[in-house]
Amino acid sequence: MSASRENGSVGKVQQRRSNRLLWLAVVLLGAGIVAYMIATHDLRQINGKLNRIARLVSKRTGEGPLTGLTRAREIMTCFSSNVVVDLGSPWQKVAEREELTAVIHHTRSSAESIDVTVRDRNTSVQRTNHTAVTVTTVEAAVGYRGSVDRDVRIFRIFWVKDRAGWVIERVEAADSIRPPPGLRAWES
Amino acid sequence: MSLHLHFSPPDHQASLFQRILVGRDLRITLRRGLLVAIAAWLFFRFVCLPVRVRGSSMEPTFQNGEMHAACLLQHLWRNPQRGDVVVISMSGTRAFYLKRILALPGERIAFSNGVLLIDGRNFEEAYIEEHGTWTMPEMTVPDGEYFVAGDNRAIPIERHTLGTVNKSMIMGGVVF
Repeated sequence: MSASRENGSVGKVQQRRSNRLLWLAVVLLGAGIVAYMIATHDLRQINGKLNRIARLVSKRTGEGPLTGLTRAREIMTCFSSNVVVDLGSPWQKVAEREELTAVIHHTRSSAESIDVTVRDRNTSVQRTNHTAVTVTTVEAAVGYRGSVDRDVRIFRIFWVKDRAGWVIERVEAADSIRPPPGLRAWES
Repeated sequence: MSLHLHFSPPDHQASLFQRILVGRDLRITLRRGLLVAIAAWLFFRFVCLPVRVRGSSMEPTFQNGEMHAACLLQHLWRNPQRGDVVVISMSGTRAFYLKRILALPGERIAFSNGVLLIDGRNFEEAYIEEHGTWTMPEMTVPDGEYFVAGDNRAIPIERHTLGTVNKSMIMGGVVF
């Protein structure tokens, strides 16, 4: 009788221990998930913004002018006011957000379709000064007068975090195929 | 409770379908499948890269939508040569350019009304269908770099991706 009581109490102790271990595992797992979410919060925000820009710049055939304007305005929120965009030849350097918006709107309205795909990205975040750099490969297919022009380029994107979140401060073309000097920029 | 899966019936009981599907012994078949998968991954990752052509910059040599294969080991034992069609890495093996090497390190290159000039002399390009009107001032290709361009000279030079590329970005050459 006493042996079975002892066995029962030992069993309860073991069950409590295993319950505690289970709780500990759950708490640790939860803490791990929270830590991961906090650690990758900036990264996810930057990736989300990059995807959003690709989506907003892309254009389907038959898009109305109002949609184009709305999208250009939306794209503006992803850039800082003094953004510098230097995509290399054949594109001209753009040094202000309003100018960039106008260029994007003009490009989108003159093209029949635009398909932007972000192929690869590698972001490093500097938490101390709220800056980040993304090196990304972007593929674009632009439909124009019945033909489709394709281009793949590597860009270096410099981000800065302000009150509204991460915004792009500078975009420049990274080394890939360097165009020869003296070629005139193509104007659409 | 244990679950026993028996996939190796005696020969006379095994149906033809089952023998084709899993072989005589499932474990051996799985092992072989795994080996084949690893070998295929290694082959396509380090030896042969399937390339789908997108765009018209290499026409008429390569048409939009065609499938080709590039040898990633080609430049291990020899430097890229003029006329080689090479794969230029843009993002690992996911995005790349397909271009032809026109000038080697240290050479002077120019275009004059569609004619390619290497070190001041005309260079005949047999792979070109329409010579176009490309004109480009002479430049010297820096050491360790190659001058690349597409075969489609009907595209205006300003709209064509051409220029110098570092040797490290050349992944391999197109073999067929």
